[in-house]
Amino acid sequence: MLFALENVTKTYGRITALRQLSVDAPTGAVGLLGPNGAGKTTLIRTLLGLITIDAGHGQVLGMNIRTRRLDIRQAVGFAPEDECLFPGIAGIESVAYAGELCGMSRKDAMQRSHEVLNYVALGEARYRRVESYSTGMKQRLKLAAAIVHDPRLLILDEPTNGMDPAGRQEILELARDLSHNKGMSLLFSSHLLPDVEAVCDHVLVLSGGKLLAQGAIRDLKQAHDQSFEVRVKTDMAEFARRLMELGCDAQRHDDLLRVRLPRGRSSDLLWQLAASSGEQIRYLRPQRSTLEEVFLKAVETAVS
Amino acid sequence: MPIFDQGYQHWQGPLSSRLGRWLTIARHGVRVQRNNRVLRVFLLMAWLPALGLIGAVVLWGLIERRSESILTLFSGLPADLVQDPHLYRTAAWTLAYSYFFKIQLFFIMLLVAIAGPGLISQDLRFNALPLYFARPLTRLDYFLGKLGIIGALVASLAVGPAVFAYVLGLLFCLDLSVVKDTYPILLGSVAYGLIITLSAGMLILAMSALTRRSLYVGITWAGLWIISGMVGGILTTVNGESARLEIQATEMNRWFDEHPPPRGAQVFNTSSGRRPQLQTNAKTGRLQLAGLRPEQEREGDRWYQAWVKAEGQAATKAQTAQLTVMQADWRPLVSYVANLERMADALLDTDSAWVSIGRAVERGRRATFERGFGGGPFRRGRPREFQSGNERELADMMVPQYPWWWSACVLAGLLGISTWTLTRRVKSLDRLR
Repeated sequence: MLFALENVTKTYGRITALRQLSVDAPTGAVGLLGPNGAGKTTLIRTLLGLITIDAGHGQVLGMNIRTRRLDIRQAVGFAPEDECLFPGIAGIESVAYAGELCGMSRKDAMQRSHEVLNYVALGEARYRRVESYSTGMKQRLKLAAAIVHDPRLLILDEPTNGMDPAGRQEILELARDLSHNKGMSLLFSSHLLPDVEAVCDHVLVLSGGKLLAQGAIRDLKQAHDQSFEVRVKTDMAEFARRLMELGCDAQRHDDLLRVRLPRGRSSDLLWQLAASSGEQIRYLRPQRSTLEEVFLKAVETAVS
Repeated sequence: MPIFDQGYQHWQGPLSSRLGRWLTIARHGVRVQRNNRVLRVFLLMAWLPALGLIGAVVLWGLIERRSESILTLFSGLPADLVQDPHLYRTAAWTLAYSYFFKIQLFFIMLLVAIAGPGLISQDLRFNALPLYFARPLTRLDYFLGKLGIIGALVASLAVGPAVFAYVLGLLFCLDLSVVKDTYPILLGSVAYGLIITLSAGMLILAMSALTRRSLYVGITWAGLWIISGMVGGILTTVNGESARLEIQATEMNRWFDEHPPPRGAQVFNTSSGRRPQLQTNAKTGRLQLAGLRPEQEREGDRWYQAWVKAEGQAATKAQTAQLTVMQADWRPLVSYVANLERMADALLDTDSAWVSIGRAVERGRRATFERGFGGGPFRRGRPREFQSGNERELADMMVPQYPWWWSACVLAGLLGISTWTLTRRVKSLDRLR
């Protein structure tokens, strides 16, 4: 188990940031989804032992979040959301300093700093002052500083914020590589669903300080028995009209039709209609929920 | 090749104890400061007063060993000091250290202004606090680490030279009794160095935590140092002078009422009381009262001599009153530097050193008097008594006489405010934003 929380509540004055939150996250790459103000940052700070919770208890990597805060931070690497850096020094010094703060000797920290800067592709810029780095370089520097002491759990808070597509892709590839090939567990907090989907296997959806949904992404994006995505060769509009005459719900979505069949009917209906109308079906597959749908549905459920 | 193919290796090395993590911050900070060329040059320059201190204690060592060339150089010293220099060893060392710290305090204030402002303000500006607190560190580690940076730099100017000079002084004296006589000076110096380090360090850290702009911190520090010093100095001087003038004016006005000048003598008012108008006698070249007729000149001379004597007595009385006022004057407390210097005087016991030197000077005066110089006991054939001076005069003049613990309370208060500011401004991450 990566971390487990039970009935954790945290309030700031009249604002309840976490509301009796209970969650079990498995090892591996876990995504943390939620709109602004959902409690993602508070959850991360709780996991890092930076927060004194009002009620509840929990463990991170088997360590109690109330009593072993420093041990947790020793075992966890964290790259904060905001732009932050140790000022006035070169990239190599910055990462080495992060290692030294975790207890590494100066020599080990410097050696390790070279390694991780190469890994995040900042090898060429290692002797430049960090203030001169671009946004993408700063994000990769934060990542390097977070993994310099080889943590068991890496927490990335909105790591692709403000990045160009190429830089974003690099960060996602690094995060995926660390979590899937290097045996490092990952908690990836983002409001960008494609990013979470690209990196994580498991997802937690938070809203209003409560857990709305959690599970393996593959399971959450389940196939629908009665819904299909269809593309036909010639006239999509005519095909949709005929489907609706047969009691189906057909909606145009880009170059596809999303069709919901009447209860009790199977995909044979689509083939029969195509045969009778002289249309050719070029694409047909059961519709699966996207992560966005899962997320929106969870939020809607919570609101209702 | 995709960037992640460059490989990531796991690491399993030894980790240091958590108790020493603040040292990591301090070491790193000192390393960063060392890269500042201006600071490096400044630190070298700031050792110049230390050379002066080393020179002074070494010189005293040579005087004690009766080095001819040195004794010739210092032939103007009071005879007691030259004949029995080991009796004045403690005083000489104390005064050397006292002057060293007075000068060094200027360099320390400047050093703090150069190295201190960015210590926390830069972390706030570049949002580095989450990077610290997301690691196995506490806020106390952070504060201690930052204090360690400025502390190491300040101590390198305050404590280092003092200890170094002490060791060199011992080596040049070649006399173990020096340790017995002077170890309190070493202890006092180290304690004072630590007080400066703690006080100035905490104060600049607190100021640095108030803003993200180092420039503003530097300006505020300069304001505290220079303006508070000026204001404190002006207030103290004005208060002391007013007290002195008031007493003198009262005394002299009373004397004037009791001893009116001869009719026709011109009198005018000053801040120190009524004064007669004087003029030079064209025949004798002596000063005499203005406005008198020739037949009044003898009477005028007698009155004038009495007035001179009365004015001298009033001046002494006023000076004593001024000292009494200054012993209870809070105004020096306005100056940050004056408070630090008062602690130095207390820890080094500069007062006793000046009293000791005052005695030597007094004995020198007496010896000169008895040898017949400076008027002598048998001038014009009449036996005269030696007018003993105040042995404390030097001490009263050179050392502030208000209670040292007032300054200690001010510094402790500033320390408390600094600590409170730091804890308020450098917040933990247990907050919404």
